[in-house]
Order: sequence, then structure tokens, then C-alpha cells
Amino acid sequence: MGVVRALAIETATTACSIALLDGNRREARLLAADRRHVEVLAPGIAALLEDFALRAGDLERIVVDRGPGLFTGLRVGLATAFALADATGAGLVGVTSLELLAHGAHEAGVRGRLMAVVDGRRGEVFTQRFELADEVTAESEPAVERPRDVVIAWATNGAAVTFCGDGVARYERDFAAVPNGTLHPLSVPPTLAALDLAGREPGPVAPLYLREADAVANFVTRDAR
Amino acid sequence: MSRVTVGPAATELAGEEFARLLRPGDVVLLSGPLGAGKTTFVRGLARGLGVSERATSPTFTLVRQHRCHNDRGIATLHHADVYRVTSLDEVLDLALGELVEEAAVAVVEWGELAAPVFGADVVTVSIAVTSDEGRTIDVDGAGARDRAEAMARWAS
Repeated sequence: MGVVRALAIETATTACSIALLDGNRREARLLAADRRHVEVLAPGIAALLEDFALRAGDLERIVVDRGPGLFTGLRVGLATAFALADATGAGLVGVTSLELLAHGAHEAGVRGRLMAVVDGRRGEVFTQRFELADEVTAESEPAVERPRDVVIAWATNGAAVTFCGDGVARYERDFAAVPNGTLHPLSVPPTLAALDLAGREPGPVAPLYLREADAVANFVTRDAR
Repeated sequence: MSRVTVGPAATELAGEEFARLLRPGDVVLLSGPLGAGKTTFVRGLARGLGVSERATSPTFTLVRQHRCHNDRGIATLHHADVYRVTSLDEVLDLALGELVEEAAVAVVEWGELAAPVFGADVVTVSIAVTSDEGRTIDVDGAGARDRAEAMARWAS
């Protein structure tokens, strides 16, 4: 893969975390758990770089979680990633919160079917199904669902499945009711998993909000009413 | 759940009494044709939440924040109007669904135009014009269902 120095930025949940890779050295840091992304992110990156005796200009890649997740967090993470990439010339790699959860669970030894569940707030969760074997394979597209519908679907189909993500933490009682379901404590998309994906082809990154696409159709019909 | 009003004063009172049903975290999508009394309803709602300044239509400002004084834990009213918004990005940028988690409620005029942005747990208020002065105010939405009794009292 060849990437030696990479920074990962994660702001898709109420937590704000980063990780830095420099050759064989890597370190992940949780900067805040309680929605203070704008306050802690930039100083946190500066401090981590300093501890590694690196400058921002040394970074080859910036890996950023582009969602889906907490909107007010994502825009801080994405804006910071864009600015850093722009200023340093580092390549930008966008990853999703759901795939980070899948890779994190895989790293933690989970195998078989995995449902990554990110809290979408307002009574909804962002979900995606993965198969974890030697590799991590996505088996569905990211979706917005009501937690109860996810639970009913898995309870009906009866298959063994592992759930992880902050959406599971929020609706723990619902997910615990799935007969063949296992709840995994992984809640925040792990930044070390993001560093593992730093070798992907860099390119333009756009936020993944998921709700936007549904709303466009309604919106353009406004004047026809 | 519907309440019938006759005249702006009655619509304003309906808004004021509706405010007592609200809890921190609520997003209210308010709809109705131009002139139906959406802003009148919000004026009453603002008074019901203990907002001291007068609520005007936020049409040209997108969103106004009002400080509230009540004993129900609602510290801020976000009053938005998305009618003139040209793209959904602007609605997303308001992040109202997340802002209300900090001891606030949001009322969004024309909010149903961008409903999916706000998620499933919303309260919808639709004002229908039935005559010159007559209005039917209909309350629905997943966010309203857990307080059906109080809504029924409000409607009667």
C-alpha cells in the first residue's frame, strides 16, 4: 500500500477522534465524547502531530469519515479534512462510518453477518449489512431505517447477526430482543480502521447524508402546488 | 387530531395552547397555504413557550432563535421558514434536528417540503383554509403519537 504517514478524522457520532500513522507507529485518540468537535479537533490534530514530531506538511493521506452520522459533527470533520488536504497537498480518502464499524468489528474478531448501525437521530438509524470472513464485504447499500423495522426484519429472518455502532447503544433494548442477534460494544467508528484504508485511491470526498436524496423530489414539486 | 378555529385570535390561541404539549427535542413541521395563519400560529406558540419578543415570519432570515422562559426545559425556540430555500443543502445546514437536542424545539414553516431531512420523529401541523376566517388545524406525525391524550384535549 505504501502510505507511510496518514491522519484519520472521525466525527460522525457525538465523539470526536483521530489517529495518526507514521511508518510502524500508530496512535488513536479520543478527543471528546460529548459533541465538542469544533472545539477539540484542530488542537487535537496539532498536539498529535507534535507528539509524533511531524508537521502537517508531512502527511501523505488524510482519511475522513464522510458519514452517515451526526451532521453537526461531520461538517466539522469534513471541513477540517478539506482544509488540511488543500493546505498540505495530502491526498484525501473518504470512508463511511458504516464500513469503519465493519472493519473495526472484523479487527476485533467478529465473523459472519454484521449489521453496522449508526444513530441517525429523530427516531432513525443508518444501517448497512456486511459479511465478515477473511475480508469485509458489503452486502447492502447504506440505508435509513426505523430501529424497530431493523429488529423485526432480523427477528423474522432468524439468521445469526452481530450488531454494532452507536445506534445499537441508543436502542439497546430493541436490538437485544433479536433472538439470534449479538450486540457488540463497538460504538464509535474506529480511526485505526480508517488508517488501514489509507491506501485507497485518493480523490474528491462528499458527505454522505442519506436523507437528502429522499427530500429532493418533494422539494422540486414545491411550485407546482 | 384537528382543532377548528375562526379568526386569527383563535389560531393564535391554538398555537399558544399547542405549545404546552411540546417537549425539548421536538421538531414541528408547519404547513398550510400562504395566508393560512402559519406565522399567527407560531406567534401564539412562542408566547406559550414564554418567548417575550414578538415572533415575526422568518421568511427572509431562514431561521430565528428565540429565548424561552418556561418550566418545561425548553430554553430555545428555533423558528425557520424553508419556503425560499433554493436547495436542500441549506435546510441540512440548519441542522435543526440536532440543534433541538440541546433543550430546544424547532418550528419549520413549509417544513413538509423537506420532510425527510428531519427524520421520522416529527410533529406535523397542517392548517387548512375552510372559509374566509375558518381554519382547521390538524396535528399528526410520529412524534405526536406518544401524547395522543394531551393532543385530544388540545383539539377539543
